[in-house]
Amino acid sequence: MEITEAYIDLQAPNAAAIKNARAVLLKRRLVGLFRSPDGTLFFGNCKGSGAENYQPSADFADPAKPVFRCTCPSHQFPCKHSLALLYAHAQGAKFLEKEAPADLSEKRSKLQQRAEKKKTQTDKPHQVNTSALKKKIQVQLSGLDLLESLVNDLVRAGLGTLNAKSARQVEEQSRQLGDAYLPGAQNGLRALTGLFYRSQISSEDELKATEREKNYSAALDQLNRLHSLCKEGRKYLNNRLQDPELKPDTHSDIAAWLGHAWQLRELKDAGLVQPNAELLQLAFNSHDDWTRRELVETGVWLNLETGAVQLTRNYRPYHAASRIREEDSCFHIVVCPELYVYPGNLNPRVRWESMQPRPATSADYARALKYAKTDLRAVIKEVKTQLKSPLGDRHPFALFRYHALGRAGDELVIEDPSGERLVLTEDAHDSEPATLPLLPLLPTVVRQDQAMLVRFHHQLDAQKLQAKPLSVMTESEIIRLAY
Amino acid sequence: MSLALIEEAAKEVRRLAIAGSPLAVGDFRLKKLIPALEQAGGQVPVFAQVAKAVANLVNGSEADSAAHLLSLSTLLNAILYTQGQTGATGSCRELELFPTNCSSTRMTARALKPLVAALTTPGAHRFDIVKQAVERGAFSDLRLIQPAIRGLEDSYPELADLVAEKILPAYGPGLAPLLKQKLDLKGKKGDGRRLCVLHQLDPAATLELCKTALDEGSVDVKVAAIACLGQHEDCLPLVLQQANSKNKTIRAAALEALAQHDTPEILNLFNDLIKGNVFDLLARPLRAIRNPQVVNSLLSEGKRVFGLLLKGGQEQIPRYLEILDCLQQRKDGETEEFLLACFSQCDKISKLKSAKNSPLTGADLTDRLTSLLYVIGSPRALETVLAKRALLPPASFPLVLYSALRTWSPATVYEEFAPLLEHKKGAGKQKSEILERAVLAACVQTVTDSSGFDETDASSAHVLKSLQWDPRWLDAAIKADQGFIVCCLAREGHQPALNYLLKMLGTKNQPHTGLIVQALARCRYPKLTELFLELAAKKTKGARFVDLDVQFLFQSARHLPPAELPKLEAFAAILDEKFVDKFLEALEPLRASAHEPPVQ
Repeated sequence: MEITEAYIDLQAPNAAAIKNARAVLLKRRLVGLFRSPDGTLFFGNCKGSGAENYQPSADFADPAKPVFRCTCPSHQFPCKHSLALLYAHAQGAKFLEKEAPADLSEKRSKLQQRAEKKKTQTDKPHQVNTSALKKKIQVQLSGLDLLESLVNDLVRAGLGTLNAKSARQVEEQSRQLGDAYLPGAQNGLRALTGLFYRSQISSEDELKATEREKNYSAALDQLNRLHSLCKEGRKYLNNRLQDPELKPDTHSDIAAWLGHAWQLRELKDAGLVQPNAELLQLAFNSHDDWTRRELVETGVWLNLETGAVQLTRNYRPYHAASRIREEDSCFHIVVCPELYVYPGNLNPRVRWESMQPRPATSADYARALKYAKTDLRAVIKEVKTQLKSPLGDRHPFALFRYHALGRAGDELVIEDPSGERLVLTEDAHDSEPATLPLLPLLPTVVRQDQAMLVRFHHQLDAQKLQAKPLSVMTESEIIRLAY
Repeated sequence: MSLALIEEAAKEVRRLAIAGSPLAVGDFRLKKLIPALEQAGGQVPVFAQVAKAVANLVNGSEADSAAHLLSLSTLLNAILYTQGQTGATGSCRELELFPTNCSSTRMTARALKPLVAALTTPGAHRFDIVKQAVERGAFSDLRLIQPAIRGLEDSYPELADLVAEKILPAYGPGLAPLLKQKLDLKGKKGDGRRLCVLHQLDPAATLELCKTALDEGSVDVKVAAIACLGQHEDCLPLVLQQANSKNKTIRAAALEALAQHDTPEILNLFNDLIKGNVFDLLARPLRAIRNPQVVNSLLSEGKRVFGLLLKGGQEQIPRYLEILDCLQQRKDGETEEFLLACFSQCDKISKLKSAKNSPLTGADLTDRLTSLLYVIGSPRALETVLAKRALLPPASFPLVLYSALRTWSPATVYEEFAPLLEHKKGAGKQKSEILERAVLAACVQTVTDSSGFDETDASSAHVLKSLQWDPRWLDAAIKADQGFIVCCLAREGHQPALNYLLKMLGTKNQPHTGLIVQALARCRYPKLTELFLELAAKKTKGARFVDLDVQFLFQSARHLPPAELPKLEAFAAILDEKFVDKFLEALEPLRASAHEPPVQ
């Protein structure tokens, strides 16, 4: 496979690792560059802080799932030494052919054995410890009782009594939800309390009255969601208790709402896997979700096999952020032997274990354009159906082929051939930058008959359903308006 | 569907959610809605559900009010979410587009976000980040346009100016409507820069706007408008009017703009101003002005004031210095003649005491005259300075020294200045230190000067690099124990210098090991590499960070024989991690010279 610098950048856990790896190369700390006779393993020696040189390696036995190893003490994989090895290769450095060292060969064969064992294990039906699971569900049910009690207390006291201090007190109590195996519910409650104070503790922690007034409608909507979560969650968990097989629900996302972390094996068992999928990224965002205490990277992808708009989400908790790979914008087509699709939602979350990138071609853009929807009324109806569900995603995406992009009055609008219109406005969701000011700067070809990725938002107080443009797709490129 | 009923119910529910759910029990406003809802429920079943939910709430208990309120709210929101308005009235007009010189959006989030942050949020190193991005062409990404426009208002002026001068103009005239959108004529410096960028993008189209800004704008915006209008001959009358403005900043801007032009009105204006009391405003324009009439006018005034000074009029010192300020950087013949004529009387003016309420004395005048003659730098000017060197104040000594270095032979320089090396205190010691810095500047890549005299201005730097020192300097420096000078002048074959340098290394906590190693390299000391490694090991042992001395020592590695590279790299392997990076960086020049083909 071709190892380009862009590919290596994608493998890096974060921007600092790229910079440090290039510095390792510049300072010529790599002494000894080797590759295996079959060309799937790159290894070498690198000067470091220790008495002995480090031994980084990059193993492409499975090109879709490269394995990086190094004897340095870093917790990051790939570390800067392994990345530097690959940058040296990409820049044309000479690698001598050599048999892999004994310890590396041993690790490779152990990895292969583990992969084969895993394969046979996945073929075996998974045995669930039902009594442990029942105990867990009982604890979760108690957790839902606590959530209901907290929510009802808030409603009885009134949102007008909620201020920064009381919001933080509720948040303290929400920790118990985490202890009750309900991290999803905990995040939901934090999303409510987070509306009532600023993200960092400061002398101006308290919101002004006008700011709180603006948040009341959103707060009530969140309370509704939590109320529904209690009801639906209780129903769901009781059903699970009675079901002898005790499987998670795969037709809705109630499991994720409660905080279930889907295993890829579970998704595969449920048939929620698409083989040989190809994905084209339409938009990307990374933001600090301080109510979750996590950094979140979201990719919006078009599935080139099914035409579905799907999302990748990479959550990096604050305490482990530096050790989890940071995702970045992707301009390649991602080719996955297996694409796992999470249950529920108009734009389901997807994940893959291994993938290979390839450059996007005009044929890919042509294929993507065909999937863009052309009937705006139908798109809006689909979105409204999603929105009306209390636990549905409040910001669904759609790829729409518009007939015209223009102005009606003071509003920016897109129109379909029948004249149905959608107003485009800003929405400061997930700290995304403003995108509307970029539209007048685009080339003239965008005025008509192109595709636009939009994210819908419903303004509760004004009773308007509008959308924010995130990218424009033409026959030859995707013009990203955010990241 | 009668949405008004649902919206009314939702409004009441919101009110009660804020006030507290117990207040919903028996709430008359909600009760009033039930009959209408039940009636509508006959047509649309969901209204009946809403009516039931309302009834449960208003007729229920306070204990259950929270659950009932949320059930009702959930139902209402579910309905309202399906009723959101999506369209807009009026016909659809074509979107006006303003294509710029870039349409790329291929930068990744990891590369884009730090740049956006540098342009829009406070923090350290922002200027460097943005400058490097400009150099690598990163601003061709469309998504940086808005952050760059915000950068016009940046609190760090250098960054705002970089945006205005280098970044935004590159986007082309398509940017103009965006810039105009938020232009506030009553605004601050950011709006002034915005106007300047608009003018740069399309001068003809922005003229009227500049004129309006000149009439109605704030001071900052007017200053920018003047700078723009000053580039157009037919707008000069407008700028001329501003030369009489009551606001000093505006007057200064107008004068600076007018100085680029040569009309009779402008010449008369400057001639009149020269006779007045506004030299603080005139300095910058007059330095740029080329018209000989104005220059002569200035010099005439200078002669007049100088004449008064000679008659004991020390009150004229401040005015005379202002006139001299206007002559900075001028190298024309008339100015040189004027300065030489004044300088010829330096013995008289040096004796002048300070004016009332001013700290400036005749010595300051003399120093300033010397400085201006030095900048002119003609052989005549420099010889004149040297001829009067005995009469000049101590502050002028650097100028005397550098004039001598530029004019005299090495032997003459030695005979004149070498005795200073022996001076260990007082004024003589200060001169000795200046001399030492000059030798350093001539022999070493970098030099720092604390005297305020810029020894590295372009002409001096050129002189110093090509300077030959009399060979006797080395022995004089050894005799006077002037370590820096010995380091700079030590040469191969001079055993006393070699002994002296090795003795210097033996001094405890020697802070200049880098300089000494460089000198030993010049002397071709046979055991230099071993000595270097020994010094490096000693300096880094127990050190907590890379201080300046360690850094300079490492950098001196470039003077070692390239054949010693393997030895040095082996040493790197045993160095502490905090020093390895700097050490390996310092070896790069040696590696580069190891790869160069041998000179034929």
